[in-house]
Amino acid sequence: MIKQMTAIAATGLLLAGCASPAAPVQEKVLGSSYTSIVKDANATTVRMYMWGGDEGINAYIDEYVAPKLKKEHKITLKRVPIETADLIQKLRAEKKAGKETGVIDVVWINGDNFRNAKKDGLLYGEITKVLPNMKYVDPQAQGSDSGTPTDHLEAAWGKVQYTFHYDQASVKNPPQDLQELKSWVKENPGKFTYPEVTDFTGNAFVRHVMYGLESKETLKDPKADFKKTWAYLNELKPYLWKEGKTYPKTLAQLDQLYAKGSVAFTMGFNERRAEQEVKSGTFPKETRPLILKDGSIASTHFLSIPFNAPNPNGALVTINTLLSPDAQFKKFDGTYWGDGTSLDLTTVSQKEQQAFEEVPAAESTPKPAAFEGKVRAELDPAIFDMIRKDWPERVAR
Amino acid sequence: MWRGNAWPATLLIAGMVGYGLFISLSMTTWGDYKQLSADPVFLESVGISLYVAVSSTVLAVLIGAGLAGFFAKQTGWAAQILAVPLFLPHLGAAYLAILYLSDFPVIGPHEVNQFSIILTYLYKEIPFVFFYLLPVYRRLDHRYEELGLMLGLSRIKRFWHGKGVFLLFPVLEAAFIVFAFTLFAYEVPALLGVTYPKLIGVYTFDLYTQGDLSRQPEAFAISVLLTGILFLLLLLFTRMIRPLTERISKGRIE
Repeated sequence: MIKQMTAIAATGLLLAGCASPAAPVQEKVLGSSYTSIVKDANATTVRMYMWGGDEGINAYIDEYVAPKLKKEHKITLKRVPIETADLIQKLRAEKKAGKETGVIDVVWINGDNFRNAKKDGLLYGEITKVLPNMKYVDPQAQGSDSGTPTDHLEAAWGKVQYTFHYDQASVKNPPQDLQELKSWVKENPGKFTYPEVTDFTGNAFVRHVMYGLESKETLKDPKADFKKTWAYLNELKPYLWKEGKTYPKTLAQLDQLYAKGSVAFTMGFNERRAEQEVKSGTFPKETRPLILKDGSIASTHFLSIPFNAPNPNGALVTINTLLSPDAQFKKFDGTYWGDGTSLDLTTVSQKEQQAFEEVPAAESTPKPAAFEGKVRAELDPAIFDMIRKDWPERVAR
Repeated sequence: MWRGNAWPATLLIAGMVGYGLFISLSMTTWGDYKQLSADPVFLESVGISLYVAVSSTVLAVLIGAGLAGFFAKQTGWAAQILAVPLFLPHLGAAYLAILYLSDFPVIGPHEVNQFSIILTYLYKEIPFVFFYLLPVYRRLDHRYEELGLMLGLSRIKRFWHGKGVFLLFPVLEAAFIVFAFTLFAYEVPALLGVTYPKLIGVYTFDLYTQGDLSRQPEAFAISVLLTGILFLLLLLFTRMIRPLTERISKGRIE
């Protein structure tokens, strides 16, 4: 028996010994010129870990970005779908275990996940200082991530607005503000719901209710009692899908309900996200956008590199490529994703600027004027936490 | 019965559980447990989880044992059909429930009665109990019951001395495994459960991953509590019931 156990232990040690080769030193990578970074990144593999719940986004990476990187830098891009919160957990565990060479090269991140990663030192360093394409990026989008200063740790990849979408075939007179929405929900029981607040989009729905009902002082104070918000949500509750006894766990589930016609509304960050879904026949043909008078939160999402990325050179080249005007354009037009650009369009060439302006907007996309005077800044991340803590007790229960 | 060397596997598993428990304990303070005991969301979650785990376990064991008793006397391949659900992971079974139960009103997914979760567990655990108990049933010596009949014992006593003592521990073993699993599992309730109250596995995972991660210690505290309770149950089984059944059944023909 001892012999067998020794053998097992020996195999274990052997496996542990087979770690990947060490990653290049961080100071050296961030201290070198972009030209030498490109040279070192040539013909390497880059693993990009990102939320994988949207077919259009996945197709953009797999069908457009990966071939582009292959052609320009011989880089093999591998996309790994993962929930962003799980990714932070993984990095935290690796940091704790002292694992200096991980497996993740590029992460897609924002909001409280960025705040957590920054607080725990899970990010690589001041990466934006070495990326040449940062010169195109809108400094306002780049400056802060839901109230947390980005400090060059991440690069703004896209900028979107929270937008409701509804099926015109079943909603003749769409509500224009929260009060009208409430009346509509009461008149059409079972046809509206929102994802539960552990979901990014569901949490944001509650923040929109806050923007509509709470005073400016309350909105600044995560410790305040958001009485009006909870009261509003409780008033909606009995008239929601499944009488509010349960909520979709994710935005993907809400989208499925909307696609099936079980509910008449869906919602989400990105004003253009319905274009692709309508074109592919997933969403109803008569899907239309709706921006409530109470405001629409603007959100920026970012790219970053983990502290223990095995291939930081490849990661930097990948991020720089994703910030290039042509990659941003392909992300913006309706082919795959339809995501708002993070670039300041006055900095790109005349021709590129024109291309952006000429992208036709589908009927499911709001006109720029629809946002006039309605754009709201993201609230303090502490409010996200407060909603997660209080909503189950004060609303769902 | 398999008589190989179980020590390496035992050491490995005990080591993993022991290490996990140690780490979890080191992450928690007394305050976390106190906070949990006053958290109504947690307590309601425990209640609903016990309801799901107990009903799944009792039903799976009753039906699984009944089927094993029936098929023990049969030869042929009919029983092998029961092996089909074993090849499907729990996640797959939960998706089957979404596919086939969604249009039914009371037993569909996302209902407060949690019937879809219990049904999914039954689909997976009845075959498990069945195959766990089938060899036990097949090795039962029917002559004990005949002896009891000859000695004029009552029906209940005949059953107990002829079958009960041999079945009790294996049945409890199967029940313990099913109970421990269904109490703390994640995938099935995550897919089929309701927003509130959440089953304990889902609630713990949410505490562990959400927000600024400040509630992680509570998640560790829950896993310490549950592991502790399951250990106690296990101890009760091995210390009290096994010696009892072994004493009674001593001298049986192997």
